[in-house]
Amino acid sequence: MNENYLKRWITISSVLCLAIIFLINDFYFYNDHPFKKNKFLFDENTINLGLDLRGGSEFILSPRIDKWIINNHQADVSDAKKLANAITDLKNSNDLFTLENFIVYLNEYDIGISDIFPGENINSLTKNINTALNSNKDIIRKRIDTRGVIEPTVRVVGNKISVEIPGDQSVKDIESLITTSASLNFKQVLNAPPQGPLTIDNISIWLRSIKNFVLKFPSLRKHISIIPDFLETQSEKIDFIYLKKENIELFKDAVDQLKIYNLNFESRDFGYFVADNRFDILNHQFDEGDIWLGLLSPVNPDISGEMISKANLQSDGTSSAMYVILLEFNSVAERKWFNYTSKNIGEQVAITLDGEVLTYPTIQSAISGSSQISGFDNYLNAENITIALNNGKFNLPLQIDSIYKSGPELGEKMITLGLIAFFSGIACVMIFMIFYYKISGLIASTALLINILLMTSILSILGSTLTLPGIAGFILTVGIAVDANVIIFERIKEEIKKGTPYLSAVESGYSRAFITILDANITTILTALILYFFGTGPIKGFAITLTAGIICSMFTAIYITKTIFMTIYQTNLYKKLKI
Amino acid sequence: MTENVKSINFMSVGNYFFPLSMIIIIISVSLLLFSKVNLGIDFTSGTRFDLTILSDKNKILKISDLTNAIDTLGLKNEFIIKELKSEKTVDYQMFSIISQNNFDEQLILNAFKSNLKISGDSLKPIQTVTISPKMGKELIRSASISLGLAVLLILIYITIRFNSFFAVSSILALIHDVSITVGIFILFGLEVNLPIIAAFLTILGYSLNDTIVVFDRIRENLNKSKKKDNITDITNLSINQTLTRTILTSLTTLIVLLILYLIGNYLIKLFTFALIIGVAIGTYSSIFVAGFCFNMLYNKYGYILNSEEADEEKL
Repeated sequence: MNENYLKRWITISSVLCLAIIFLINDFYFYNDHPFKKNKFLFDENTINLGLDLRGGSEFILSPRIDKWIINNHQADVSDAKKLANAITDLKNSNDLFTLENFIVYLNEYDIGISDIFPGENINSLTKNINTALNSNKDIIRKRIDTRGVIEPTVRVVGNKISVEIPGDQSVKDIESLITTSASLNFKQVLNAPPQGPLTIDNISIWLRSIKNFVLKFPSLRKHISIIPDFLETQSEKIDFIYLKKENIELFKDAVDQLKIYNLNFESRDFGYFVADNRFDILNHQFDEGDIWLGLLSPVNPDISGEMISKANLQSDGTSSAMYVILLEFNSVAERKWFNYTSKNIGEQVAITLDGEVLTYPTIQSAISGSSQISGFDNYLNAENITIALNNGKFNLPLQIDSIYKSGPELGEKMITLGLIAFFSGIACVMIFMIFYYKISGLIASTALLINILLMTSILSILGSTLTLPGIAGFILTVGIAVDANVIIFERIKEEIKKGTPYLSAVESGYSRAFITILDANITTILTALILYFFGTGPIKGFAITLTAGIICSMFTAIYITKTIFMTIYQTNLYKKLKI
Repeated sequence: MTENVKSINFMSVGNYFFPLSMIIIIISVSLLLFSKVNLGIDFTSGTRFDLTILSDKNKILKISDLTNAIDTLGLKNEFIIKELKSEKTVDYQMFSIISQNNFDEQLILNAFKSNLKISGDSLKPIQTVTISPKMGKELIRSASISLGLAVLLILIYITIRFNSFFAVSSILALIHDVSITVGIFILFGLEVNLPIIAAFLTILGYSLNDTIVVFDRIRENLNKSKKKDNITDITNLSINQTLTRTILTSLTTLIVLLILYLIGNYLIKLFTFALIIGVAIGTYSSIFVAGFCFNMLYNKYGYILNSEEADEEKL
């Protein structure tokens, strides 16, 4: 018996020491600056403060699997239409566009994933997507570092990317910086909104070609907007076709799907031009974000952003606040560009970023050396594009799932209140326990304090993020933690009332109570596990604190308090103390 | 059997409470089916901008004032503006501005500054949350799956650890607890967001925790009992024996939750409110729903179990 309880004390002391060491680690970190992570003693994990406590923004991005499939598939002609149909079906359904769901929809058309991606299966594709996701993460990190954001956190969480920008830093325009694929292309213009002097001729040529092409495709017709009879020539009335901002994505998606199998798109593709009010259309103002359509060549010239070695942002040298981006080509591209421009003087070439036309100048002469994109009046916008061009493009297009911005007001107050709630909660519970159970209550309170120490330590080791719900979970656990103790004490009381001697009362009390505690806590842990797997950030934190709390409370209630009771027996104090 | 334990006859009181509880369940479930739940943007998607405005003691801002200010921007969005009256103090008012489509909160702040004649310092953004439609769908999916999975796992677990009478009774208690909590949320038009779903799941766990402690004791007493012992007596005894523990644990939990409620901000308040209701009702239901139901079932059908045991003994 003697050795037994000595061993137990040694175990308890070592656990406590470890816990304290990991926690001191944390204090060492937070001493100077909440953002800094310089040196560490044993583990590099600390408890992080969630954004709702320290203020900041978080963007959650997820991959556009549909676009990735469209860009990377190798289906042959016979399967192309089925592929397009499968994609349309999945998009129109209520299911999420994941790889797994996509394969199910493919199977409806009797094709399998290896028809679309020869030699691959779902595992290899998932791996590819994951690699692309991680590469995107690195690119995003470089972009926002170049932008000068302090201490951002960019990481892959599951199949999404989380970008955290702490503190009160301006996140204006960060959205476009982190979502742009940065896919730059040079494309010959087949038809575009006229620049320079406007005549009925050049406007009608443009509008007519757009109308003829677009109206061929019912799937595109439903997303366009029309100003009817905009132009009247001697022979006809021509409608003005354009895209409203909210329909752009839908239109582009529909075009992407047509491109899978429709041969019309082998020689031409849509260009998306920024709408302005140069046509002075009576009674109609184009809104910001509206798009005019044009037609571009998908093959000529074959120059894209990967051939750019560097992009530089400069003011355009005039007195107006306009900027240009200088593009330096690599040697292969330089030669291509020179050849192309010498043969195509007088033609327009469009420079597109993620499909949207930035500029479409007319080639005046053969160009050797670098090129420039001019006409930017928004400095931030031009800076974003320059940064994006310099840091690589996404192979996997991303979309924003959610944005969370927390002002500084919330955080500071909450930390203080959190601490107040925490200490008052503990105080109340302790007073209660001591009042009701007297000495045993004191033992239970000690166990509670140790419990909290262990819980905090576990959270630190796991490197968990403390959010407001997490604090709530922590405090809730304080309330629940006493449960195990109460169950045990009631059992012991019953045994003693029956006349059982002290030690056996303690023994049987603990052993019988153990089953009850286990049964009861397993269900709470089950729900906590479910919360963890299906919850998002703050809820995950809540689940972790709950689970950690229950496990710790079981350990302290069953192992530690028993040891204390055994010690009381050993020292013969039990005769004097009221249990 | 212990005669000196002061025995409260819970089961007889339960004769009144149980039917009452059943009626309340039906009311709650119909509320759920036929009224609109106030879903937060976690599920409906959109953007929500919360801010506090330091108020002039003479001038209390009304929602219409804010709406007019925003209208001057000429944005295409449709805005819903709510005032969080629970956060109103002498010094400031808190508002939520919600729209299905994204908007720049800076524009809103500017509109307020110019139209409401408030200085920039009086406007304090608290938080802005944007959820895309795709994300909203995902979150609805997760919430539904997690609730469904929780119930399933609990059902399986109880059936393994206890017999089917216990299982049915505890499920009934769980339905009782969650539906009443949800019903109260619907009745008062309180917003159901992702953390509230997490609260519901926690209530499930806690209520079950409580029920199991009672059932564990009933099971123990059943095993110790003889054939002639009345099940109602056993149930009553078990509940009385575990009464101290039930009250103590609920009390400590409620104290802690109350502190959180009083001190917390508007987000925590709602979350804690759900938990307080859940814990209170969960404690009640362990005795008057789960316990009573088990007692009722055993009284009616207990002979099935007994004959099974008799068969086993014969073998």
